[in-house]
Amino acid sequence: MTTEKDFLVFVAGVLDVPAESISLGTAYESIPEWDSVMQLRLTLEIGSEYDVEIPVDEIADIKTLGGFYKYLTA
Amino acid sequence: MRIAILSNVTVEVLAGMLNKEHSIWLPPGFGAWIETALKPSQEMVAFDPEAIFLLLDSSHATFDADSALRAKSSLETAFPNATIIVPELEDLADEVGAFFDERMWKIGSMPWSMKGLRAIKDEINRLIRAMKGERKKVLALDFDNTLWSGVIGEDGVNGIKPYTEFQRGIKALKERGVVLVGLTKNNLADVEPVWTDERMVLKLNDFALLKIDWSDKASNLASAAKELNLGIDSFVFVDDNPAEREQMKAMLPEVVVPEVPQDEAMLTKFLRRIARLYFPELRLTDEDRRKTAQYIEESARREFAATLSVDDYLRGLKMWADVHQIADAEIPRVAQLSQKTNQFNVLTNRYTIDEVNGFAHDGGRVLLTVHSGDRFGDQGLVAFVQAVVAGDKATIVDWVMSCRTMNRRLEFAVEERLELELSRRGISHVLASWRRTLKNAPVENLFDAFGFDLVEVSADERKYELKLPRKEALKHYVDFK
Repeated sequence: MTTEKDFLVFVAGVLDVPAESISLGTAYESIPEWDSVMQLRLTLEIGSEYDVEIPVDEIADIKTLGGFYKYLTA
Repeated sequence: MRIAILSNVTVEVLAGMLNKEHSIWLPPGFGAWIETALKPSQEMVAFDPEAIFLLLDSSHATFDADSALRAKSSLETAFPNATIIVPELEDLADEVGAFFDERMWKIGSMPWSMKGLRAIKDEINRLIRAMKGERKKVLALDFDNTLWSGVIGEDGVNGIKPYTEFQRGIKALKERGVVLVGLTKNNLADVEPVWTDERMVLKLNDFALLKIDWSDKASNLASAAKELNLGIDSFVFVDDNPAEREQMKAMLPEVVVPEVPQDEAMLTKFLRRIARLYFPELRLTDEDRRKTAQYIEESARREFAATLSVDDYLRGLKMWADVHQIADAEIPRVAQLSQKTNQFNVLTNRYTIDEVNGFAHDGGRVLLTVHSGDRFGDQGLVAFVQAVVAGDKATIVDWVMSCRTMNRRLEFAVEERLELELSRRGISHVLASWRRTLKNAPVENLFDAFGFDLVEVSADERKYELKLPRKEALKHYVDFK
């Protein structure tokens, strides 16, 4: 089971921001690093790291980092 | 490195993965690759890419081969200092597997999976390393059941069947500057007839060197490396026999030893993979194309050497050199020498074409190039030296020579010319230094040999000075042109 903290550390690495600066509540486009290109990259990076495949029609609906985390715990 | 990427699919995600290590430029908007290539924007020109990657996907998007060719040649004209690279994405996809992600294509016009993206990123970095001169130089080939089916010592020349398609691929590699060495356990007399067999694509003179005897292949490869003056780590060894491969790996771990497919039908694909991984095709200089001829000449030189004293040998070589201020046409070759030369290189500064271009037009620098040859042939541009001058002082910042011309006292002739030029500029005081790398031990005492005074020394660095004019002339056997 991946903890919230581990997940945020991984995501911060992909976003290239300090882990303390983000939380599950961090929203899409609320930081400059998370734009539509990063949305694709996060989908792939998280999918590959945690072996989950987010369905294509749900990707655009993910509006916070918590939205990604949900797939790990589902 | 400054990299421009032009593509027929979305590459922003890939750019995001590369921009930590490199500075990446993408044309704005989607699908602009062909327009940008045919008529580069001012932004692209201002970015001044060192490498331009054309990433053309044919699995999900389309492009026509003709446009791709036109794009490539247009970029080559517009960016003469950049290396234009078109990676083989199809081969890469084949090899990696799970290369694509349909979801990404649907929502982002980007066909690749995470695995695919990482493979492309690695491929780009590998090609960049190759661009910097870290590619392999020699393909060492077994004969029986590698170049032909059958064993020539048992079946005779009429009993073997040459793998012509495979040989054609190898010949193409040789044409682009890869040096071929034959390593086979056979009797010389048994192999001889194969060179006149017209079914053979590879001919005797395609090989720079042949080792045909019953010694172990690792020893033969090591001695070939010595004879060609190349590092063992610049060899790729291809042999169908797993036992030979294992022995090579155990004895010479620096040699690249790929698995060779048993099925003839797979050989062409195998060779394309070898070419892509170890001998990527980048911009060739004339020097590369002449390489095999030069190595063959080198073998002739050595046979000649075996019969004479060193002085007589060097005198008899009738070496000549043309040492002159760098010309613009020589800039790419000098950058290449700086990138590739590991042994005869005192400070191992690596330069891009741009940097060399800057030095060439800087009045505060003396940058001399050396073109040399001997009775066996023309060796091309084999060395360069650079000094920064200020007042009556000059500091040697580069002393670089191709290993092909080592051990012939050519360096003494070049040093003489450098000092002559420095004296002409009113220099009376020359500073020089050597800094240790993994491979440049051969020149650790270069300046001692030149008669410089050692002024400071540590384990990894030696600093020297010399007052001009020097007292004793440097001894060499070179005629200047």
